[in-house]
Amino acid sequence: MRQLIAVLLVGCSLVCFSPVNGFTGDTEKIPTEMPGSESTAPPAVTDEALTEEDLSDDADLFAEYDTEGENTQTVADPLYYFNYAMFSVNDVLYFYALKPVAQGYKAVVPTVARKGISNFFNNLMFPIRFANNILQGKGDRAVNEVGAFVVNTTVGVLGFYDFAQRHMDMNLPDEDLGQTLGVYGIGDGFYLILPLLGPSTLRDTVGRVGDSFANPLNYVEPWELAWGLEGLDQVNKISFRIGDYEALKEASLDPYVALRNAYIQNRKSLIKE
Amino acid sequence: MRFRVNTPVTLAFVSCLFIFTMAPLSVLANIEDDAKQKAVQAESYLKKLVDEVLVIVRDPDLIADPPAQEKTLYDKGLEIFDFKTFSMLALGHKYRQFTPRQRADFKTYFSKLISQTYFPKLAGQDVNNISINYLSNRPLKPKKKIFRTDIFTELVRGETKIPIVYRMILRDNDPWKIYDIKIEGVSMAANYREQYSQQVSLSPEDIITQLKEKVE
Repeated sequence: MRQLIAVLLVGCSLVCFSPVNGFTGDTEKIPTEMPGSESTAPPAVTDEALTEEDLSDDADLFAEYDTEGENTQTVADPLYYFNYAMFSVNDVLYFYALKPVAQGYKAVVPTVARKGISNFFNNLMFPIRFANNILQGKGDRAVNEVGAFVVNTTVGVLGFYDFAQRHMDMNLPDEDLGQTLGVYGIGDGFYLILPLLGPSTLRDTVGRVGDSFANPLNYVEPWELAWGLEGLDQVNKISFRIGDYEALKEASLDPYVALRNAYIQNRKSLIKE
Repeated sequence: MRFRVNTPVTLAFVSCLFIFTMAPLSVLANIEDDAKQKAVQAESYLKKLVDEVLVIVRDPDLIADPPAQEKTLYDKGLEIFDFKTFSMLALGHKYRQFTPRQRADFKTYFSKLISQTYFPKLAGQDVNNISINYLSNRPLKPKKKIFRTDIFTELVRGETKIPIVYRMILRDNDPWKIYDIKIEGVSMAANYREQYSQQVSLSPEDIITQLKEKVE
């Protein structure tokens, strides 16, 4: 009888106290994976003793790294020197070529027209979004894409007026092959900055190449027209985003790392949704 | 061996067993509901705060006087941001190397940096053309009576829509405060954390000096 009571008491205490433990968090467990750093943390050097509150705050704080599956691991950057060179090249190209052209374009072309052009190109990229939605198993979104394409091309006059997203409450999130591969579980590979095209990863670059087969602009003859349209698309896009890159540089301590991290975080969030 | 079951003792024992197993589970359920309720409160509180910021940003007297606008926004920022937690997350593991005095210094300059980075997104040329859509809220798992929640919003400026997620924290005796901002999926704290983790050779004093030079 006594053994039975003992076993029941032990079992009862395990059941009672384990959910509570999971709830408050184990103050000993600190993740040893430091984001992006190879060396282990040196011992804390203080001239004043850390208070009890500080230490428990730390535990909560670091436990947060593991919550909600938020991946704080940095991307591999074995091509650092090449990437840094490309980063500098793109930086110069932006400030001395792309930005002045975009500013001039913005001054000359009214916002309504720019938005129309952006809608036109967005509509044109339907095959890429459609194919990738199918590949990711997002059937309902694929159906949305077809519907929006039909509506925008007809009612929206070749896509210049985005009737579907404005009046039919449809949402057409951007999908590309890089995201599809990410959804399949393929990792970034490594960071790669493409000249002119900007930050990318091995996976996303492969994605770009794949998507180009579904990009209608690639099939336009003669090639001058195809490149001209691509250029128009890019300048038009940048005209809405003048100031973003400058703000990133302004806010960062190390623009190269800031851009790399921002790109990776952005891609991860796109893959998730 | 034969047992003689003592009925009252067994009954008492079994009911104790029942209470001890059920009680933690119901406490958990209550805390979850509590978190959901608080998340809704956080969303409406955030709306109020952002509206107040927009009033400051649209004030013509302040638009004419940028330093005054910056100061007013900074003071507002101290009210709406939990810069202590924000700094902790931005420094990551490096935080442990900072003494309390260094932490306070870092917090001062970091708060200026965030103020100078975030508020201009709401200000700018077409400041009257901005609207903010509040999409949803999502409570995070509460820890030791500290509640946290994600508020999903959209900043609409003319034709462009930017998704912004505010991560808010509720500590005892304090109102809800923002401790991280995710713009288009990019968390500011995580971004700074990676930058700092790459600067392995810098000591806490170096970091503070670097930050000070940046904001002043």
